[in-house]
Amino acid sequence: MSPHRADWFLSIALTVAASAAAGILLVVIWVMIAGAWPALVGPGLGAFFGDATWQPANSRFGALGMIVGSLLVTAVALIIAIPLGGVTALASGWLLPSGWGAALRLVILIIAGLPSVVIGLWGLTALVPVLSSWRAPGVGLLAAGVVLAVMIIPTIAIVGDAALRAVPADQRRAAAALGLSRLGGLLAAAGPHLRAGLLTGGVLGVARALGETMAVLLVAGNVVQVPASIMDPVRTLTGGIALEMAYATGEHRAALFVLGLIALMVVAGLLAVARGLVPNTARQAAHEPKRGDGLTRRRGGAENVHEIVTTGDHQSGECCAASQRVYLCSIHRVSAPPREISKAAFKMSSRQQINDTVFLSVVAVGVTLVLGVLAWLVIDLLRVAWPRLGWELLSELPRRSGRSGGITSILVSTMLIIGVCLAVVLPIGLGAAIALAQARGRWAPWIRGALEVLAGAPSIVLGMVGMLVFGDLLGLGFSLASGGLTLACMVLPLVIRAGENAVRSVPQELYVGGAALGLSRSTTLIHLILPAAAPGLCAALALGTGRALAETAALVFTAGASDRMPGSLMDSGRTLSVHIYELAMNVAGGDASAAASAVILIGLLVIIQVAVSALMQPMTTRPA
Amino acid sequence: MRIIHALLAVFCIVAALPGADTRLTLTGSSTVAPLASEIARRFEAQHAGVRIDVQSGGSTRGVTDARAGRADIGMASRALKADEADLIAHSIAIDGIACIVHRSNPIPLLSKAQVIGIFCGTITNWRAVGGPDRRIVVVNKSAGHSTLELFLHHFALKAEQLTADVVIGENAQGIKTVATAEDAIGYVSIGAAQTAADAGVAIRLLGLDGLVPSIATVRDGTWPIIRPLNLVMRSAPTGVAAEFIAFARSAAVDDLIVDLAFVAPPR
Repeated sequence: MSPHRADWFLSIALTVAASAAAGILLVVIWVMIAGAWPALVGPGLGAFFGDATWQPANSRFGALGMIVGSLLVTAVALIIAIPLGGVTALASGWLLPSGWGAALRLVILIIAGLPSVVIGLWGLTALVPVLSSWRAPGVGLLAAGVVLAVMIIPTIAIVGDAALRAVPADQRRAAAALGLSRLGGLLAAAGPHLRAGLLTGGVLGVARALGETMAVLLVAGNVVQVPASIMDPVRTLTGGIALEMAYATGEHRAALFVLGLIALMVVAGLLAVARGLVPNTARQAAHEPKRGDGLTRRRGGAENVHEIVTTGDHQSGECCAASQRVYLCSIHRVSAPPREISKAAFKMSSRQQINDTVFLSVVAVGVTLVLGVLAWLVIDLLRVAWPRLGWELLSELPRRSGRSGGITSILVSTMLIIGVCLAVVLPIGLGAAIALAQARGRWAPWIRGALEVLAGAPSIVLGMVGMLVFGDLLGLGFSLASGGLTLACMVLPLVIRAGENAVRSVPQELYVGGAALGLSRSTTLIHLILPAAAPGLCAALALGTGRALAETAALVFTAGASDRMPGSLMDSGRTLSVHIYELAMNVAGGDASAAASAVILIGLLVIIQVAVSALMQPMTTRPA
Repeated sequence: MRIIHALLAVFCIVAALPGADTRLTLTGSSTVAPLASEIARRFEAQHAGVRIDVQSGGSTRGVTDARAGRADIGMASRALKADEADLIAHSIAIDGIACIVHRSNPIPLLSKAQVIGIFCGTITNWRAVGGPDRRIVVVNKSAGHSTLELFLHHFALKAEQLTADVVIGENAQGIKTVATAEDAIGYVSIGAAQTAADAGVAIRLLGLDGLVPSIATVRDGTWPIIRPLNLVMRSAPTGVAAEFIAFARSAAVDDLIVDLAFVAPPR
């Protein structure tokens, strides 16, 4: 094959991969509308926004209670998570000496990696009894908000931390040299960075909170109503779908698809608003780094990938772009602040000293609270899991619905589902990542936008689409194949975003060198660019794997929940996360087994995390 | 990259493994599912090459899936309705429905009127029925469950009359919720509740109008809310399905029925 034809094939293949990835969004929207159709033509969309009376049996589909429920739960979570995430970011990224800061960062990464179903389980077995002693039944708006807050605190903390660490060292030193108080130095040197970080983190947190299903379902109480107090039970849109999908037929089922569409629209609208909040120039700068600025770009890219990898978050694709924005913003701002710093210096007073003490105490209390919750969660998990931890857990099949025996079949199903997922994500995801990283065309922003929305789609919506497309249309039924394909749709945007950044972070010199040697584009790509980007690409895949391992909602409708040893990919099977959910939710006396499975799952995720860090090490420490 | 290659190789090998020769898919009632799973496991052990998948949803789902052919056999924890005459039901066990409360709740039983009052929101404090001065936490089931339908039918209520503090899905979630809330009351399958209580879960079954919910009262028919656990098909079973249904209705599964605190149908 001539070099020219190879180039041609390559560019076609890459374009197809990128379009396929973005095409998923169109399929999702199309299928959701098709599924919702009977309810859209029957009761009509107006019926959903009319009131809060949800009585599917009587064809009353007032979804207002669930829409308000979703928004309120998210609001409570944000009210808790933004201050706590913010002070944690301050501690790790600004106040603590670098060694302690890194340690705190590591702890935050561990929380970020916790599968949401594990946090939900903690909510149900540890938090709800405490709340219930205050006011029965304990489940409700507050419990759901706290559980979600635990999920999004790390997101906010990580983004905020990255923003603060992007403050140039000169500014810190200048603040110190001027003898500013800690609070004064922070406000003068890092105020804008912190605000941008909290804003971005908050947006990511909102999307995550709105999309969460199973953890909320465990602790929200699930009564369809507009709550009158913070202790009242609420039902969220996603929770409503999960609760009734397996029982719904006909118009009722179509109505659940409408709920899914509403959830999708809320998230998409939110992302659009968030886009508007981030200045246009910064976004352009993020996507089109200046030529000849190789060092900056490489550092930015490496940090971003690390960020994504470490958040273990559905939204990380967005997160990476955001942190890149923050990073680049910081570069543009270097010249401005010193004047502000000197202004602040004149205002030093004893009152400021007192403010400083108060400020430091608030941060200390906040961080202690975050660490305390993590300790509570881990200790409680281990306490509940203890009787079930042992060799038999790994070596035996589940018995009595998982109350005894082990999880061998679950581990096999997990591996197979992840295998199917990776088999799809590997070619399409990496192809699309390479294509987007080198894209010059006008279509690239559209594909990026589509992927951004897809990344923000609640996973249960993808589960519904997977159920209709893979399960019904392709006839895969409840099967590992159907589940794996659905997961692939879910993690693709994440992997593409991270992969694109990995490819972008390859020094421009390699392209120039390839061109200088007269190599074809495909040869340059295969022999120069890909090897250089390999660690980042592997990290992107690992990120997707971690995300897939933690997923529950998308699998219940597609892979089913059989705990049997699968005989083929056409058999139903459950992953560890689904197993934990089933034990927590549907098996009386299954808590110990659920906790033990959670310990194993966290172990797996930590292993992946460590592997990723090892992969990223050469990238972040490589000399410029 | 080598790791990825190895993973892919393993994956291809597993993907190429042949599936089971004969497969039966059962979907429907979460009350029937645990029993059907155990029966299926035993059946498979005796019939090489047969694989039986049991997916739990609700009775309504079991009926529609069986009718549409999405499942070979549907599971329903109720008798077929008048508009479901196109299906054939094979009863494999009998179960009852009873109210459950937390183990620490001193109330021994409620009257029919009291149950209606509690679930409709006219009685909101345990003191009104002779208990401590504490607010009652009502646990209701989400739409589509036959347990809900039977409960409504027995007490001649409509779904919209019920007021709930917590809405749950399947039996076990209801049991779990009541076990963690001292003031809660819910209603679930007697089989599921008895199994859980025997396993040490902090719940207690509540009597109704002087009757005690138990295996014995369900068996002799004195307990007022009872229902058959059915396997439903759209046509007379043939082949493996016929063998499976015959097996599920035979005395060979009696110990499994007892183990789950259901009652075997008269044989």
